[in-house]
Amino acid sequence: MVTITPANDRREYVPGDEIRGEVAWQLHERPETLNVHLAFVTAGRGSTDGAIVATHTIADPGISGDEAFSFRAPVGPYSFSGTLISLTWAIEAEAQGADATAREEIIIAPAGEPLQLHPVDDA
Amino acid sequence: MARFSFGRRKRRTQDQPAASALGHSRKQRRGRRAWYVCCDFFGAFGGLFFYMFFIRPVMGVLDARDWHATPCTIISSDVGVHDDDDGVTYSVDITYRYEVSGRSFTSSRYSFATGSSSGRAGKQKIVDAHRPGSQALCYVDPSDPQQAVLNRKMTGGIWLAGGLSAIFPAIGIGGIVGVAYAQHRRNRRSRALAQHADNRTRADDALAAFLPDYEPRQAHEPATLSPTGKRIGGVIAIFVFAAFWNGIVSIFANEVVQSHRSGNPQWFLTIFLIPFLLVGIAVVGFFFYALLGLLNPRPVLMLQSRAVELGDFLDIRWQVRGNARRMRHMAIELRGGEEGTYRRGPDSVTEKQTVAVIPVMDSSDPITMSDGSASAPIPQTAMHSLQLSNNRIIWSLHVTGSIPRFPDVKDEYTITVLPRGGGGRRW
Amino acid sequence: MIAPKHNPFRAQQLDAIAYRPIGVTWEQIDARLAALRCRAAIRGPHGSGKTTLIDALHHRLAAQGLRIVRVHLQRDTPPPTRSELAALTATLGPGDVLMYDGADHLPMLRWRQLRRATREIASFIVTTHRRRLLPTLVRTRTTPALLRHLVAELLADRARSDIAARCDTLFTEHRGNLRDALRACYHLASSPRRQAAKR
Repeated sequence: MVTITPANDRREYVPGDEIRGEVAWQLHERPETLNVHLAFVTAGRGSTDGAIVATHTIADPGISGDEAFSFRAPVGPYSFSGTLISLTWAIEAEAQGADATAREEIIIAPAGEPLQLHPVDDA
Repeated sequence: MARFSFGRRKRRTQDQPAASALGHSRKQRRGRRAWYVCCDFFGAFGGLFFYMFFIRPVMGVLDARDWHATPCTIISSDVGVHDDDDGVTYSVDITYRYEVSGRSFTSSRYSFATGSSSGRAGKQKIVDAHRPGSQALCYVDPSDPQQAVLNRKMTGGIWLAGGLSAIFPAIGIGGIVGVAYAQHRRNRRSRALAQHADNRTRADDALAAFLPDYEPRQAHEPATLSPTGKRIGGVIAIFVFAAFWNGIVSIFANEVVQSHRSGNPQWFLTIFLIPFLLVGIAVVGFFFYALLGLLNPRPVLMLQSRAVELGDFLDIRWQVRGNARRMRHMAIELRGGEEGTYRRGPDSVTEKQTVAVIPVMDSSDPITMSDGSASAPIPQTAMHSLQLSNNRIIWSLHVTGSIPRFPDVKDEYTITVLPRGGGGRRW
Repeated sequence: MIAPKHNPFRAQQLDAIAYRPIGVTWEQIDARLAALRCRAAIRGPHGSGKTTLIDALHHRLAAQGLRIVRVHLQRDTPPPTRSELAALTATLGPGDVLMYDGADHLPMLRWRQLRRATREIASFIVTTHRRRLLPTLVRTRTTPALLRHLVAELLADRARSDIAARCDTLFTEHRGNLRDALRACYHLASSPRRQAAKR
């Protein structure tokens, strides 16, 4: 099992903020590496798009342990929710070779809340 | 498991360099290939006609400069009348006899022009000047005495035939050269962007994850946005298609008309041809409609920069080239919208939704329409531009102008809205 | 308004739908594939589950230890060139499976090139709308009952009887194209639940 705990249980960030937290793992087999990613993904009307913008790699993590990580919230894209598209940021952890993952959604947006896009009549 | 996808953009990760080349979509390449085929067709057939009606006669004129002037006797002279489907045309039919080294030859070549043409009077004059039994001077090829000509100069007929037959190869070659030049410019721009890739800042790299085509230097240069090139290109494209389509259809249409005139109508071909004729008529109509569009006043936008941050102002200056008074009303809007493309196997479908409309100007006053400026506020709470493979947020300037009895103005230009701190103006 | 990421008919949910054979069992499909020496075509109209079936076959064949090479040709893009196809087929070996989604968009010469180059591989499966490229493994088809079943599955515990009630109409409107019918449900789901029809 892998768990991600954001520092101070904080999940709302503005671009430029430091995203700190801790990843803890307790596994049945020894993974090769344990990667913690900062990534975004889309969902909605269109097929999925996504990207990993930063990675914190823990080499030879062992069967169990914990480690702190830190990222800088990028300038964009903002978390948002429209009519056709939602864009969500997350901290994801994967233990390679041990088939264990974890995911913790966060928000990166100027006001610390996802932008809401409302439909406008095209006429 | 290996995956191949012809035409799809790869998912990008931190380790991959920012994509700086302009994307040439496969759709664009397919369009270029089709364009090349059309141009080759025009070039090939047009070139053949140009050779027959101009190049070969000109070569004859040049060769004949060395031919020997030889006395000859006119045997017969008349104006030939040729009545065919295209109408009545005329030719100079003169036969003459001459001697070379004691041997007698006859020839009926008046000049190096080929074929017949309209206009009887000029040809009658020539015939009247060469009455049967009269003496004249002809020019004989010393290496082949069977070849002779009465008039070895360039005639108006050769120039006319050359001019007309040059149109098609010109279209073909011009089309190929035009597309190749545009491709060359795109490639040059791609290489220039690739060279700039090393100069990107950390902020630029961060933007590359969701704005892969954003090039800071270029985006922050002043830009003049005008639809002229697009309109002319569109009219030319429609003309070429109309000429090609109606040219082919007319061959069969002529056959149908002849069959009806001869009392033996080909009904199957007649009915089969109707939809093609209708398309041809529609395309011609659309060509004239597009041509009218060229006469429209042209709103031109001038921007300090094509990229602006959220919370900033987009400074726009507009001018109308042509007679702004012909426009009853003009409006410029900045629109933001979502676009989502769903791909499943070989199929894809894109849906759009407008999420922001920011009026920039809206006027019926000719003075305001002809020249003005405004600053469009980009809301701080809006979403910046997003350019992913399947999901996009697109900001664009929409210019609309209503012109009574003429095609309305409807132009659209994409701009880039950046997140705050995403790339302020550095140049 | 429901957020796109929570919409039960979002693209990600549609992509996760598993293939449901109609009028045939998986055992029969496996047997027929073997009888056709693993060279077969999945035929059917648009939105009838061809890509979904090829996804399912992918997993079944991968579970047998075969290396799967998936290709799909987007309809709005030009077909691969001769050298691109040659580069693809050069990577294939006797233990490989090539699954080509959208093979009927290949020009005849490219198709022949591909067919020749895949004679020695373990399996070659294509999807096609109409053209008879290879013997038919399955002819996919849809029914209103299948649409109702899929809508119920996607809605899960959401009480949206208004959407469920429209299934038959959607099936008719989209002429059996389940992909388009399910996509039409996206906007129905993103709007607030409509009141029941006036009694």
